[in-house]
Amino acid sequence: MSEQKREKMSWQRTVLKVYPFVILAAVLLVFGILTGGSLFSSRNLENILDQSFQYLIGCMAALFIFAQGEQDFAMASNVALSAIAAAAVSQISVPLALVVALAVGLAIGCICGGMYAKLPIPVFFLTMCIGNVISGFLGPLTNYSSVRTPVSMLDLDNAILKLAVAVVFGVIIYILYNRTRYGKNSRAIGASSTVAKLSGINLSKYKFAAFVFTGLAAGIVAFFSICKSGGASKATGTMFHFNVMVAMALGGATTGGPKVKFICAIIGPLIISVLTLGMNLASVPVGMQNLLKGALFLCVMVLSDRLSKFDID
Amino acid sequence: MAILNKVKGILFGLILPIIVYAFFSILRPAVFLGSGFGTIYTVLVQSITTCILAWGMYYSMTVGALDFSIAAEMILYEIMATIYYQMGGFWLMVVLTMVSAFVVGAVKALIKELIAVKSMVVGLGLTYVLASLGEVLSTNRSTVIGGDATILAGAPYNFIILIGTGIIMWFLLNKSRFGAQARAVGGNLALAKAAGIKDHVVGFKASLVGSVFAGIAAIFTLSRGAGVTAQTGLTSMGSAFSSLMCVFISMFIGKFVNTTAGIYIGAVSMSIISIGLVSIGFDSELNSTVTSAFLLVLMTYTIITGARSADKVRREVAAARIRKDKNTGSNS
Amino acid sequence: MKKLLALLLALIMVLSLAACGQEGGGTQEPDNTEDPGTSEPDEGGDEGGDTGLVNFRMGYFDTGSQDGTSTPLRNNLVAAIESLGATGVPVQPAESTSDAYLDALDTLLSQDVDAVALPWVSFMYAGSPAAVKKCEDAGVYYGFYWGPAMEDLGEDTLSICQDSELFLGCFYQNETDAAYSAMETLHNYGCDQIGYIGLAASNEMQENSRDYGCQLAIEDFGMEILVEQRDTNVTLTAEGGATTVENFLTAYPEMDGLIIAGNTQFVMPGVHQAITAAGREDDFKVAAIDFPDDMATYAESGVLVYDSGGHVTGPVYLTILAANIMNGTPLAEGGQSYNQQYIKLTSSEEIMGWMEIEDEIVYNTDELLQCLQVNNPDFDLDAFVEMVESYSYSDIMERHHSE
Repeated sequence: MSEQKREKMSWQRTVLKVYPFVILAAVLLVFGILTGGSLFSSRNLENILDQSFQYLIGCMAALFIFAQGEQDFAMASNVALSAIAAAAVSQISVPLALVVALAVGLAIGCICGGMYAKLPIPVFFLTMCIGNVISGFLGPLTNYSSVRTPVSMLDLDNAILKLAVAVVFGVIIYILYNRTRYGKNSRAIGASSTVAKLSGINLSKYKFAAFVFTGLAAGIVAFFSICKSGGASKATGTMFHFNVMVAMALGGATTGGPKVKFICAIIGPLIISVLTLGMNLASVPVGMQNLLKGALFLCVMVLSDRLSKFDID
Repeated sequence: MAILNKVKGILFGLILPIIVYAFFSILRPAVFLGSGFGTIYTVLVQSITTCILAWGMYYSMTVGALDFSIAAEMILYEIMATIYYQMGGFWLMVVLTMVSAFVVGAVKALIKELIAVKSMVVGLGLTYVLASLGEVLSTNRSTVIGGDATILAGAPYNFIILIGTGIIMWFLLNKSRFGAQARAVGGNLALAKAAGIKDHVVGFKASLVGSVFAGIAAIFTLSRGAGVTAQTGLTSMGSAFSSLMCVFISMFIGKFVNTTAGIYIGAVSMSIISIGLVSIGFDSELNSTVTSAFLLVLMTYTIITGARSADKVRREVAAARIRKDKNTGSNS
Repeated sequence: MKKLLALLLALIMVLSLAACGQEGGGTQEPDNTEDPGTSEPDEGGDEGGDTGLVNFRMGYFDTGSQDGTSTPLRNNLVAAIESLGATGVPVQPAESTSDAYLDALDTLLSQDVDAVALPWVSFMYAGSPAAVKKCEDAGVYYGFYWGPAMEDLGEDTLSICQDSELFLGCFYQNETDAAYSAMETLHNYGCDQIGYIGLAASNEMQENSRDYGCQLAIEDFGMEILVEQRDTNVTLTAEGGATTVENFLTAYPEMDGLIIAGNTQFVMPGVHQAITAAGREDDFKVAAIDFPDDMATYAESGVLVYDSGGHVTGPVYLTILAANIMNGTPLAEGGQSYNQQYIKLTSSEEIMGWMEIEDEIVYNTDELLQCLQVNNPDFDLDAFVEMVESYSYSDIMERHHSE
């Protein structure tokens, strides 16, 4: 390969590696200026942490499935159903509510994972359908009202607890993703499922495991959601799967395989939260906010796709 | 003879909606039989929007891409149509809406072709952006039209739109070079490229056709409702799923009837089911559950039978090769 | 290394901006009532300009939608904030869900608002305790509009706000009466075989009160509801409204009236279109709750014969209460319930009459300034209650159009 070509590839690869950080820095800079610095007030920093918590958990758990080049579109409905189930038992016992949230989340994750492993249906389609199946009966299930929780649960909605949970969950996921075969084999499947299979990797097992993680994350997010909002309804977790997908793309995980790094699941949620809060503080109308987020997502997809052919050794 | 076979095919294809109608007639005779032709007319008209969207969606599926953003596109065009109506009345609304469908559709198709990886994720992103664009355009603006612009919702114009769009769909798919190229790209991309077909151009055109169909559906739907509300986020996916269901039903009855008619038959069946479930007191929110579960089963069946057919073909090819080798060996 | 440097550099830049920048500011108040979407730099200091009033920051939720209820609510609130020397701090929730409203409330509270108007219907029984707790923790005055009376707020919410000095009160409408009047009007037009479009029946939404009102009318007038449509997937679109009426008329040709008890602003165009397409304008009548956009068209054709809406002054009243507190003359000790009135229009002619004044600001600057005890010592709690309860079409006509 010529020196010139090597140099040309070099800046493209650099852009691919650093663009999430550049986006985060740009967002902080732009909205820091537009809001006159109020973005960095202690209350708003707390808001950023609070609003990014659910996406941090969701993105970290979704690393395995993203590494395989897929997404879980049943997460939103999973969060809603887990939250409703947890809220229903919260009047009996708050710890029981947590157990129920995790159990329901895991159960749905296992159903999705089992079907993904065994049926030859594209996972996008499979999880969309499962999500719709669940969301369709949530209204009649709750009689179109909210299932309320005890007021005492509002005290669990605090930044310190969420930070601790995020850190502990993050450490566990980091170890599993970077230091065990779960992560390694998921990335191998994402790079090439044919080669992975021929290498002796049990595809069904890792496909199933990926959904177990997302199911668990849905349970955690569901529990903290009901702590925050005092209840659950069919609208809980709306657009959660989409925001996870956008966060991962902004964080650098636009395709599967080895490109999906742990840091993507940290940077992406932060970008989303800072962007959303910044636009709110700058009085950007919601329609325009959604448009900018969507446009940014598409730009990242195009950029990443165009430059990915240079990302070879 | 060919015409007789075609008529037989259509009659066989109609068995599905007839069975569904008969089923609900037993459960709710007052609604399905008591009102004479009224219910049938309502079903036929209410199927039109879903059908036109499904036709548009089918083009993208032909080239191997699934386009869920078509429903969000339709809503965007409806909002644009209300703006054009307020600027200059009915005819300006129709002309500019179709021009907008062409332009926005071209941009959308370009974005899709710019991203080489054909991922559903891109489709979702486009859905989100199109929905947001609709939201932005409708903010602080009235999105209703006057009675004079609702003429297309009534007979005979509604059926003229349906039949006209259907003819275009059938012609493009079955009689045009573009349709043949689209099927080639969707069937075997490597072979199509080897044959000199530019897959990006075909993909672009397929997406553009879908957008034009979304524009037609938008004008019709707006005429029916005389107004539109922007749908945020991915809410429009529900409509897209209904249209997808029609496509799968048409694949199911594909043996008996061509795709174009099959999709309309699918839309009619879905409409009967929807009215029927409500008439028997079924919570209409559960429609989503029933539709998606059915879609999952149908898709599983389609993929498994498709895989089995492909396997059967491979086995036959392998067996033919072995026979040929044996013959060659015995001759020498 | 490059990534770290890029991030470090950006952080240093923005932190230095933060050190120079102001705390709490950042959003602005719309500059005039005709175009409430635009904004201008915040020029308010502690004293509200020429009025000599204390400037305070009034937070509110702006859905950004253009319909017959949201637009006048926004315009009237902005006018009241300006008149009373306050600074408006709007926030737009991302979605119409309780979670999104709670996130939006967090954003409001981070901007150092002094008081906030909470739409109870967006939080409901589940979300309102969380909303109230946030306001209490932030030390911000708060009150509800579009909600129930205090005793129906729910035990959890009531336990927090009942004895709180920060609670301004709650403004509720008589939903039962609105629905009863709607049904009564249909009966007066000879329509007794009714179709129903509304929100899902549940144990917490105002739909229950409206359902109760309908039930009372059915018993009193011998009417019958033949069929209902409560699926929000259908009733959130105009085409859904058209489809619903087509199905109603197909299944029940004897139906001669329709009551729209929810999502009126979405379904009304389609409902009207379907009725006129069926040629039933003369004998099929519609009564609605909440004002849709373009109401004149539906009244002109004779289809819409009753509408109750215009309940857009709740945030204005909350601003008056807050302004009195900020200026050192609170009208009441603690919060209480106030019965906010609907504008009830019981004929097509009344609807057409209302359309001529629908864009007017309900209370002009002079009237609002007289609601502050610092300007008008006679304006006490009784006067405030009378002001709230006298709100009506005739009240507006008398105040602004009596010649």
